[in-house]
Amino acid sequence: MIEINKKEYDWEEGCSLYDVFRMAGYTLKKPSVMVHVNGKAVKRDSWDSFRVEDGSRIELVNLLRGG
Amino acid sequence: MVKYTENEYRRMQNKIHTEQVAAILRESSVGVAGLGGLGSNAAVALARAGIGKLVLVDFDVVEFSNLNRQYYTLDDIGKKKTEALAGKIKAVNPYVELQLLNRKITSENCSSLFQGVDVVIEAVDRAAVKGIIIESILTETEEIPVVAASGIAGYGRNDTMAERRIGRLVMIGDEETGVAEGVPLLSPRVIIAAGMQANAVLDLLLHRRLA
Repeated sequence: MIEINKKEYDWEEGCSLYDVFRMAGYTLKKPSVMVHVNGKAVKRDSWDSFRVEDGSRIELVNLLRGG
Repeated sequence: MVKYTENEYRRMQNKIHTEQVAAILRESSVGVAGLGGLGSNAAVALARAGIGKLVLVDFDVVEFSNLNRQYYTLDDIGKKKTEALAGKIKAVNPYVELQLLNRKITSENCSSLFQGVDVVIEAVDRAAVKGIIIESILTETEEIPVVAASGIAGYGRNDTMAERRIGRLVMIGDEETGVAEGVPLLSPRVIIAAGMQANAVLDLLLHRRLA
């Protein structure tokens, strides 16, 4: 089981952050989000190699234009 | 124009805050990444609140269309935003220490631009640059928190504006309403977000030190 923005999802073996985005319902492969796994920020250039372990708590923040 | 000495400012701030709190604020430095609607308003709020040093970063110049929400005035059009905002802050308090950086923020330079500050405010327009700033500060520095904003366009119920904290990140906004056709950035909601960012900065600075 993993947690994405406080909701639970089944963990998949070898699960990547791109799988996480799909589970969370994002349609873009690389959504405009900020990713934290277990409270630590994950840079987008390491999204590819990052493997999500069972029990991880993931927080996704939508980044939208405007400043 | 009436002039006040640095000591008169100190006494005024000590009276407002208590000496202990005023000293913490005066010794604090805050980085502001982007000096548009969020950054210009948040920086002025922090200067008024008594923050000792601001590192102001923006590559742009003030344009006519900025006046709908940014702190600038007609006489600033064509000036670098860093210099125009420095003028506005100095007109409130000439003793705030300012570091002005006319630079475009990239993943290569971000964490070094803000080296040594206590908190960074992410206040840029483009979503991709927001991501670069938040990630760089959170992964390349040990302790600096980031106060960012997302979902601040349009108008509507005030209680849609929220704060969410994840580790060293404070997110301000509704995380839904970005700039779109018919959903522009408007002064009231942008100023609310900028005020929430400045307020979160004070909370981080003071709770950490007074705890």
